[in-house]
Amino acid sequence: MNNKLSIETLMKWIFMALAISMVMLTLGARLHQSYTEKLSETIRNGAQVKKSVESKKLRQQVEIIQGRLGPSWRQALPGEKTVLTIRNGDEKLRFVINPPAVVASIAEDERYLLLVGLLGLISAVEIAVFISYLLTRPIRRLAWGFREIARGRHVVVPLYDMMPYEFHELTDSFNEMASQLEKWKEVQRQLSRMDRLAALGEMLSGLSHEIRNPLASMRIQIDLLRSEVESIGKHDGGGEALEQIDILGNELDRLNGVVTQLLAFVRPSQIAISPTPLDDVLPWCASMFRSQAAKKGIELVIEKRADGIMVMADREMLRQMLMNLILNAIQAFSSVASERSKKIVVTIGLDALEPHEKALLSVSDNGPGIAPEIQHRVFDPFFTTRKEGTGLGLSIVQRIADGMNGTLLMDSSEEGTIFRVSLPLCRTDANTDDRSSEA
Amino acid sequence: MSALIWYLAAFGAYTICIILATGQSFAWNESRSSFYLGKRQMSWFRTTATFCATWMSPLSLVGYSIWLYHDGYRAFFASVNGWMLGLLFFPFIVERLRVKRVLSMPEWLEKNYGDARVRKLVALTMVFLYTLYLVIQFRAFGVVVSYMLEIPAGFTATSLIYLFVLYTTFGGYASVVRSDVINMLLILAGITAGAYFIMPAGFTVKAAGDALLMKNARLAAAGVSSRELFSLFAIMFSWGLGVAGNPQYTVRLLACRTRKDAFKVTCLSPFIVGWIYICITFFVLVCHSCYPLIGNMEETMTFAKLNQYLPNAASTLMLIAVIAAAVSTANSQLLLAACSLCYDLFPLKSAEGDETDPMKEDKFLLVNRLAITAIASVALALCRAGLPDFLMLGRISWTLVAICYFYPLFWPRIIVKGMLFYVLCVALLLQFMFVFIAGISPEYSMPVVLAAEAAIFKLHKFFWADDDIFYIFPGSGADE
Repeated sequence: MNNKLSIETLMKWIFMALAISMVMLTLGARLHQSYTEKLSETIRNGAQVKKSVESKKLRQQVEIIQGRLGPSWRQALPGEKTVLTIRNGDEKLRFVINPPAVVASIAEDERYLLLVGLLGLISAVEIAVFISYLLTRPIRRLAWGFREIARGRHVVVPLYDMMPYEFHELTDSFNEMASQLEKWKEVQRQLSRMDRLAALGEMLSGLSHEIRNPLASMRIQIDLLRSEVESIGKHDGGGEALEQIDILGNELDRLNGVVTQLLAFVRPSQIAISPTPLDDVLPWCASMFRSQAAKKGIELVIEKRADGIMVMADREMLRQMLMNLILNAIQAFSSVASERSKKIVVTIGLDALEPHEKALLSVSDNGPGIAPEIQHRVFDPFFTTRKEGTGLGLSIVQRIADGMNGTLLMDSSEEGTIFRVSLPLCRTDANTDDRSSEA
Repeated sequence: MSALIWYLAAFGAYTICIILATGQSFAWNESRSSFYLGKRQMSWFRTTATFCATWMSPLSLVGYSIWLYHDGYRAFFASVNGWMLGLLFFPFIVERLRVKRVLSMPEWLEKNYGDARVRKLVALTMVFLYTLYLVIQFRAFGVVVSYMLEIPAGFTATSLIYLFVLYTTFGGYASVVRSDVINMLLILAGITAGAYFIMPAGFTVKAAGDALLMKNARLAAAGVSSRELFSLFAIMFSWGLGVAGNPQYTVRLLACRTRKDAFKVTCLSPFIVGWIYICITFFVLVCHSCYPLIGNMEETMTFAKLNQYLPNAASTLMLIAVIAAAVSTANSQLLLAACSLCYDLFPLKSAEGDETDPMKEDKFLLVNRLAITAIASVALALCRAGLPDFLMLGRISWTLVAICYFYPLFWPRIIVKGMLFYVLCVALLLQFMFVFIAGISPEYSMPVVLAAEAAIFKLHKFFWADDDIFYIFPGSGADE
């Protein structure tokens, strides 16, 4: 920005110049008027003294005449143009007006006015500064807001009651724009994510297919090899070879597992939605994960806030979703200091926002939470902060939730993280009647 | 030309000069550090100017002059000696002050002694004493303006300084410094001109020497009773300690660009301040010798009357110097009082944290400006409240400053951190009781209170070896 002159400075100087001009003009006019009046009064006084002195025909002392004329008159110097000539006996006294004395007299008479003028001047300048501040500050705030948005930050410019209506409207519009922009950014993020997923899916589908076939062939060959070695006999060194074949087989199985997971992600199995009791997942969940959690010093708490909830879901998919969420929560504690008590809570109940429509399945932990700057990426496939993670767990959870017409929400802070899966309730009379009273 | 025209013209010129030179506005990019300390970017020249201008208050010029005029060298011994001794302390605390990156002295106390309550207590005391101190400036300004413009010393005359200081203080430290540079030059010019032109037969070294040889025994310090001598020592001691720890000056050292600049300021200031004291002393001594019968009037009016013996131009400069002293001290004190109130005592919750957020800073500084207006208004109202004279108000203020800051600044080793808050509470309470209830002079009670502070600390150290084990209430430790 080359032009450094701001509206605020410009307005301040214009207002100040106006204030000074007005004060000067008012004072100047008043002082000029006083000067004119004082001159007239001086001349009138001079004429009266002249008349009085000349009427007596007697010669008076010059000091007495000067005294009667006052300080506004002084005797003319030789060669000076005379304003008043008084015949004092046989001599002529010549006088001129003494401007400094006139000015001094005016200053004395008008000193209050001058003081008020100075008061007015300072007040006017201070008011000028305030007006400039009030009128330009909202513009500055908006300019700052635009700069922040350009930097990719979300801002809300505050509204003040003292703000003029036009600025109020402008700021309101700005905030609305900023809010819409934020929503648009979210939509863009979603679109971008979907594009990425589609491209990734295509690539992974081909790649997994190409890897899986040779893996199957390798598995068969290893099994054959194992049979051959077993037939040779352990005592001929076959024992060591068998161990190595087992390791090879295990590694192949692990590789196959990863490929299967990739395929499950890119080509998920068909979700068969049917009325499913939500309660059923809890015993399964306890039996599957309680001991695993306990090994890592984590307490797994199961909470059932309502009984007999029937949801429209795929039982297997529901379990897979829950499994991924709990495993994710267990892994979240890996960076937590040992003295902190670790807890995972799995809750089922009705969705408080829509108790007649939705059931809620939530998994919360009191781990370190997810950093705000990466929260929007946790559902992206292959996004992970762990070295050993594939980054597919949460994206599979989201896909399953979407497939069952549910919604998945996440809330994370330093106190922990909670995932809420909202699923549509199965519309049976018994279900809705029972639940509505409990909700 | 009549004196009135001189005075009117000079006063108008001063007003225009302050308006144009100060150029106060509410900058968008200002923060609390720029508002309170000019972003710690002040050069040594500007800091020296503002340091000396703030130093020269009407109390230093008028109060001291009239005391000197009436009581002779006793005044010099007690006041100038005390002030100059206080000034010599500053180089020793520059490093200690600047180690902590703070914006106010109460914050410095908190950061050094780890107790937020000490900060709040001292901030409260600062608001009280600076409001009181402002009354001195407002009154002196009102009296001088009323004398110059031949108007009654009422609300109109005093309200001018109200507008002056609001205008200069609203712009923060940078604006205060700009006005102080002008004020410093005016004070120097005015007092020097006064000293030069006061000799009836014109200034010559011989005439000056004759005037300084005290023929009048009343002026000499000889014949001072032991009681009077003790009193003078007490005043010197309290005023010296009062200025040595006064945040008015210490914040200026904090605001310097570098430590070296701060040292330069502390080295140069004694020469400028000393020159002004020499000139004013000479002026008053000559006045006393040549015009001994000025009459018994209010201090500032007496000082203004002494100016009638000067030529118009010199008299005008001298009176403008008093106005400049009042304005320069008042805006500095007003800024400090607002800082203590808004930053230390009641910090805005919504403005806490990041100083780079302009929205928060804007709101915070707006609140500061409202506080400045409120404090100035209270001081303006107190001008008509019949408070004691200049010297008494100065004594009360300086002793309170000394009680709050002497040990933390100059003898930190004696302090027991966990106890500082309670000791300061007791000390301030004692001082208030001595002065306002028992009616004891502040400078007599202050040494007692300071000794009591030291005794408590020493006794504690004697009985409890460890600094941090003494807490009066559970959980009230310094590490909270």
